[in-house]
Order: sequence, then structure tokens, then C-alpha cells
Amino acid sequence: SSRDEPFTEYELNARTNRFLELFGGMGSSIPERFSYKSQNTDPISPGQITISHLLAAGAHLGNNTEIFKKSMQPFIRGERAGLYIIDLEKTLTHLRRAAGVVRDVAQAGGLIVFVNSDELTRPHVAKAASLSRSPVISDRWIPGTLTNPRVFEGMQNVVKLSMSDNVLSTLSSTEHPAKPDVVIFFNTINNKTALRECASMNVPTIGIVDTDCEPGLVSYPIPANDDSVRAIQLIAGALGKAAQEGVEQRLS
Amino acid sequence: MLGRILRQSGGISACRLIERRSLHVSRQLLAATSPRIVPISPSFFTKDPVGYDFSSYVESVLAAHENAVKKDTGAAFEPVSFEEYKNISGASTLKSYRRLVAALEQLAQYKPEYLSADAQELLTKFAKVQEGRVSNRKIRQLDEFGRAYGAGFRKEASAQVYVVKGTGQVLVNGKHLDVYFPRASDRARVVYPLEVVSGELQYNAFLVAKGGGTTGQADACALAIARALVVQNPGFKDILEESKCLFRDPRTVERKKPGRLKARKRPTWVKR
Repeated sequence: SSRDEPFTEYELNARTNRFLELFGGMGSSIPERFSYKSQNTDPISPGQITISHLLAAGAHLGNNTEIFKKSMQPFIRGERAGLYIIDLEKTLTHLRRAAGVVRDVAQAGGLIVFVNSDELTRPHVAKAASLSRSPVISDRWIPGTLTNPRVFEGMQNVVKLSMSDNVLSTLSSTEHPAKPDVVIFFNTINNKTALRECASMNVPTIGIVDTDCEPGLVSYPIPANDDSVRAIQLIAGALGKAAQEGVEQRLS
Repeated sequence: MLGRILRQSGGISACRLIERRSLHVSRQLLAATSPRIVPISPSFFTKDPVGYDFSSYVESVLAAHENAVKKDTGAAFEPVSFEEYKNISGASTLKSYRRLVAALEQLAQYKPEYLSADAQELLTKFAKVQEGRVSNRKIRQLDEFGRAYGAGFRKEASAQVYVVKGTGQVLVNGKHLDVYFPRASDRARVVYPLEVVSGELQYNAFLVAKGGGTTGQADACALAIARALVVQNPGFKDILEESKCLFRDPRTVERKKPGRLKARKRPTWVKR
């Protein structure tokens, strides 16, 4: 076609091919790019999480210096822009310790319960829990879940499983209430009743503690930012993956 | 350590096992001696397990439509009522209902060809069933001669009319319209409904007016004609409604009250 007329389809195709030939090999290729979307389906295991991951997720950003619990002092690295910065080395060690606990409990056939407090983190926590088929509390911990287990509307069924996950019998939860063996919290401030109940019923707890939280309330604190969805996604994924590994070790 | 574990009634207490050293227990022994109670539903520890599980399912269906194309325009999605939702799904809380409605409102915005089978099933299952309102009102029909009857009222006046297809003649109490209503404003009121539907030359009206006064009878006639026109052609209802021809004026003479001379007129005020 002449210079004034628009390109025909053939010409466009030829031009595209020529362009790819000349420039297709240029530019950088980023191998193994970390994607937050794939975090839900295939999370990073706790052994492979690095401080870079935690930093990128914003796990180091504590709360305002004015609302600060003095018992969090060992976990603080410093202050910046009116916020306390959490020492990520401590975060990583505590996360790995908590992951080890979760893995061992899962390997021994224990029941792990994930407690989510925020609507934004709900899908991430649910997905992490589903890796080991663990229960999740999505909205509110009903007071008395452990200390006063009630019959809710509609009877619930529980199963008696062997160590190889074979169903031995199906029972009613009224006679056989299921008791968790470890409970994981992603926000300790909104779950004071739950933490108290777990403590009184001798259930160990794992929780993300921010700079305004009391670390002594949980058995295995993980000092990190509890306001960042990315950080919670990362930590939930790591703990979920640890539980999955424990279950796989048990079944193999 | 194993002895302590086995003495626990029922299952293993994880408290005792939280040690980072590995468990040297034979798998067969564990399987034989430590069955454990595990809930079936992941929402076991919530108030409404069925509802929470269902909400998770619905939101997972929605999440699969990330790259679906939205419609250009669309009517809002009307969901079933909360009671109906409880019957269908077996849930019990309003929260799960609200999550369902929010998710379905999102799904309804996508073009149908991009919806998955699950999404389509949810949209049909939880869509409000549009039922026409069943009314027991008797609808008037044309009689054997094609006449439509209408009755109108205003103040103390009443009018009855037979409207039939014709050339535009209007008789009131046997007299011609101009004779019965000498005032032009009264005549205009009476034929206004016919003007609205552009039927001045298409219908004949035979009116019987009683009671009241001139204007009252004129308004009553107008209302009667309007009602009869709806019987002649139900398609006229919208335009007559819009132009307020079918409005029955409820204003009447206000009653006299004690302590006053008339409804509002007070006796002369005296200082002492």
C-alpha cells in the first residue's frame, strides 16, 4: 500500500515479526520472580523465608511510639518516622520456632486452629489453613468455645480418625467436642478472650505480636506487623506450609 | 515420655509433645493407640458452620472470575429474601447472607458467556422469583354493545357515564354539553380526559350527573369519563394517571366547629 493508506493485516503481521526478530531478545528476564498471588496456592516454607521477604511485606513496621508495650523492647530494632521498627532477625527466628511447633503438632496428629480477625486477611488465612485441612475462625471467637462448648443450631459431626487419617467412626460433637492442640492468632489485641480461654484450658498459642501487643499473652510470639495484609499472608502461608509438611510426614 | 502420652484419655496432648526433638515412636503403635477427634467442617468453631462454609465456596467461585468481562449496562441483581436463603442453604446467620448477596451482585455484572457453571447455578438459585401481584379486583369489561361504564364523584356531585366508540358527541342528562355546562371552563374540564388520549372525535359519552353544583358535577363527569376510557382501552391508563385525570379529588366542605361561626370564622374578639 502507498504511504498514505493504513497498513493491511499482512503488513502488520510482517512488521510485528520483524520487530520481534530485532528486539525480542532484549530486556531483562526475571527468573523466579516472587508473586504474592501464588503465595496462596503455594506458599514459601518457613525454612525458605528470608528477611528480604519480610521486609518487602512490611513486617518490620511496628506501631506508633506512643502506644508501646515495654515488654516488646527486646524485639525492637529502632525508631523511624514515629514508628518502632521490629528486628526482623528476631521475627525470623520466632517464626521458625513457631513453625516447628506447628509441624510437630501436625505430625503427632494434633488439631491446629487458625484465628483470623480481619476481613482483608480472611482468604489468605483460609487458604493457609486448608493446606492441612485445619479449622479457621473467620470472624469472631465466640466466648466459651473451649470453656463452655455449646450445641449450636444444627448438630455438628466430628470424625474419629486414625493416625493415617482413616475414618474410624462418625460422632456427634455434643458428646465428643473437638479440642484444639494449638491455636494461631494473627491479631492478639482483638482476641483477648480467646487467649485467656486457651491459657485456662492449657492450649498453647502462637500469635503475631506488634509493638503495642503484650508478648506474654501467647506461648510462642512472633514479633511482626499485624496491620499489613502482605505480612500476615506470608506468615500464615509459612505456618500453613509447616502444618502441611507435618501432616505429610505423618502420612508417609 | 511415651508412658505419659498413653495415659492421656482419648488423644495425644500436644502440650507434652512440643519439643523440637523428633518423635521416636513407631507409626503402627501410634495408629493403634491414639485415634483422635477431628471436626469435619473447617468452620467448626463458628456460630454458623454451614453458612461460613457456603460463604467461602461462593467467594471462591467469585475469585475465579478475575479476568471475566463486565457487561456494559445491566439491571441490579435482586436476591432472594433472607428467610428463603436460610431454607435453601441451611445457613442461619445474616452475615453469610450478606456475603452471598455481595458476591452475587458482583457476578451478575459479568457477561453470561464468561460465567462458570457454578456461578450460573448460584445466580439462578438465589435470584428473586419475580411474581406478578395477584389482585382480586374485578376489572370492568365492555358490555355487549361496546359500552364502557364509569362513575365519578366530586364534593356532593356524582356522575355516571357510558363511553362508546363514536364521533365525539357528549350528552349530559339528555342535554348537549354546551347547554348543560354554559361555562367554558366547566366544558373544558369535562372533555379534558378525551383530549389527553386524543380521543375527542373517537368516542361518544352519555353522562348522568346528579347532586352537588355546577363545578362539582363537571369534575365528577371528567373523572367518570377517565375511568370509562381505561375500560375502553387499558393502554390509556398510564397517560391518564400521569395527567392526574384518574385522581378523585377528596376535598369537601369543612365542618362547622363549636366556638366558631363557620368552619374557620370566629366571632368578633372582645377585650373584656
